[in-house]
Amino acid sequence: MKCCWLLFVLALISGYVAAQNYSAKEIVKLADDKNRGLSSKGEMTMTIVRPDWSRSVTMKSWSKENDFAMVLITSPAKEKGQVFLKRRNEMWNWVPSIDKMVKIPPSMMMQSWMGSDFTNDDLVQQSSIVKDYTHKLLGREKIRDLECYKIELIPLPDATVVWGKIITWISTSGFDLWKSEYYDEDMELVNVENAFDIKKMGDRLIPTRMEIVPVAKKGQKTILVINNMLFNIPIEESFFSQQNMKKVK
Amino acid sequence: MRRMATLNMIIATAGKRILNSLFSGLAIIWIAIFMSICLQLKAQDTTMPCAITLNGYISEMPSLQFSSIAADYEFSNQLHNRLNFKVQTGTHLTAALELRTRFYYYGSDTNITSYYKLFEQDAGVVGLSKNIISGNNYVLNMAVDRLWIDYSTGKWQFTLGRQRINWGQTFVWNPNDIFNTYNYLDFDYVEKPGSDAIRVQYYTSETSKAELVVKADSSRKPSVAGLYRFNRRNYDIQFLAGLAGEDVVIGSGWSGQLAKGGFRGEISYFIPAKKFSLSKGELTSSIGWDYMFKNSLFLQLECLYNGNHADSTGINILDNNSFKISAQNPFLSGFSYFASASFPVTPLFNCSLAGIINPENKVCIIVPSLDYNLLQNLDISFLAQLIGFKTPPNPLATVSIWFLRIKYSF
Repeated sequence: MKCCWLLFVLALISGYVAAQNYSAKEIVKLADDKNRGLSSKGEMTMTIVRPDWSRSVTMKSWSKENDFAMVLITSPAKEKGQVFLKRRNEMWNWVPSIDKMVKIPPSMMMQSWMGSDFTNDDLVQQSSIVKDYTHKLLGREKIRDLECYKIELIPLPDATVVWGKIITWISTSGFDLWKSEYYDEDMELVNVENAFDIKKMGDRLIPTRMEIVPVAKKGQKTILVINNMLFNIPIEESFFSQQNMKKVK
Repeated sequence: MRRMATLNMIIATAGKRILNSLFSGLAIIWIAIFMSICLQLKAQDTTMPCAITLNGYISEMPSLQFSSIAADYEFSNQLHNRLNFKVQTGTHLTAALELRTRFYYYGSDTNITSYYKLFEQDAGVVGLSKNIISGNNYVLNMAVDRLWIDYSTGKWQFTLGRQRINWGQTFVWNPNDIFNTYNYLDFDYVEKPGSDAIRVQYYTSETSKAELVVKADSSRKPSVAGLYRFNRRNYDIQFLAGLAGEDVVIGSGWSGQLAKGGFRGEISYFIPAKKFSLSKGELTSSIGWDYMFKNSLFLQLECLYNGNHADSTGINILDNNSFKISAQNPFLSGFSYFASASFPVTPLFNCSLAGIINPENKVCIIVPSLDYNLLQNLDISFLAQLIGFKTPPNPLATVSIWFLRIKYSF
């Protein structure tokens, strides 16, 4: 056990030392890889907070690499049982009450998901912060006691992304996406995302609470809490099928 | 006194009917069969996780109808409960029972018992819709619209019983939906009736499948059809062929994207089986485009061509019981155009406005609606159906129905 901890600490240190020479893109890739793993399976709660009310949605999710994801809504009652499937650049929504498979067009991918400050794209990570952007290291900054790399992401011309620019802060110690600022095409700041509560989930320590605050809307935010998550689980590509959308539970 | 006597009579009659219905109602037998299957499944294999779930909703919906034809307005009220039971054992076997119970009250002394008989109409092999209690102006109806067992193994899926088989791709009119076509205006019944069928599905890949359906109904005219659906270049494409009632049907449908919006369509050609000739067929086709703007404004456009010239008028399309919608005749004849804009003012409050025009029959329908999520599982909706139609030489007639619905989901 001690040996494991030693290895873990060594890995962290070696990662830290090596990171000194990482390019902006490599840092983003390390953070992205850590965040997703090669595959994952977990349960999350999303809470939409507004000045006068709040609503929660709970869901189970499965993912494999960047290309495959499935989300099953487990509450509230009205949406329970709905499933979203992403396969590469395509997405479907299964509505069991009417036995209907709805293909989701690109225009819908970029929109708010179930009224939250998250988009469909955020949910199934359609676009990639590694592949769809160019990266520039702006320096280092301390954010809520964590030393971070400050990196600017500009979308590639042909990438289907909603943002004009993202500034992200990635912790130097754990390569966690600790803070992000999302700008629209006119370079106006739209959303600020902060991560909190680093906890052990499966084989890794990750932030388990993310809060997205729309800058122009006072008192609004969306909170995503990871209740449990396992990474690098064995999961076949065939799991992400229309057949399985009807069976997952 | 007279009121008391009438009340006693109603109760006595109702009591008898309840007992009769309880003992003779096929619905109950079916429920018993379902429950025993559930218990047996559980007893047979204790190592296999067996999950029984129940969900549904209860809604209260008063409505007012005004008409330029009738002098007075009409009030009606519907209390509606839906119970969805589902049993899942392991990964192979699933069974479902879904019940719809409605208490309908018509706010006038007019005797419309003949209308309530329509509530009991069941297109399935077995009548699973029963009027438990009914009087001059009220009825309590219970209907089982789903009752199926599903066995899934490898790439195969077998479903037997009353089920929803939805082959539609567009949102409003579905010429491909030959088993469970629905009426867009029947907004309070999104689940739609089921079909008594055997359905075999074989998933040829993660995004493609072949299926065969054999459906039987009360008219003893079986429908048999096959469908193949696959995905190519960001499009879901399907082809279907079969015998739907008295017609041979061939069709195709797709869902894809055009200018970042959803581009969907369906086309079906129906030829009478007895006088089979390609030239004698009727074509029904719908094509639609939907787009969501950055501010979440959702726009939907759809056009239908209905080559079936069955007699239908503006007034009876509002009547879900008398206007029999089918894939062959999904709406009024000729071209119909649909447009809808829906906008979430807040995540809790959604406004929408939809319109339908059918120039051939001179019918125009406008459907404004407001939906508000009061609490996590409690929604309140206000919806109107405003219909104008002209049957020359008569002047323009109008009918408007205004609904208020409170719905609790569980």
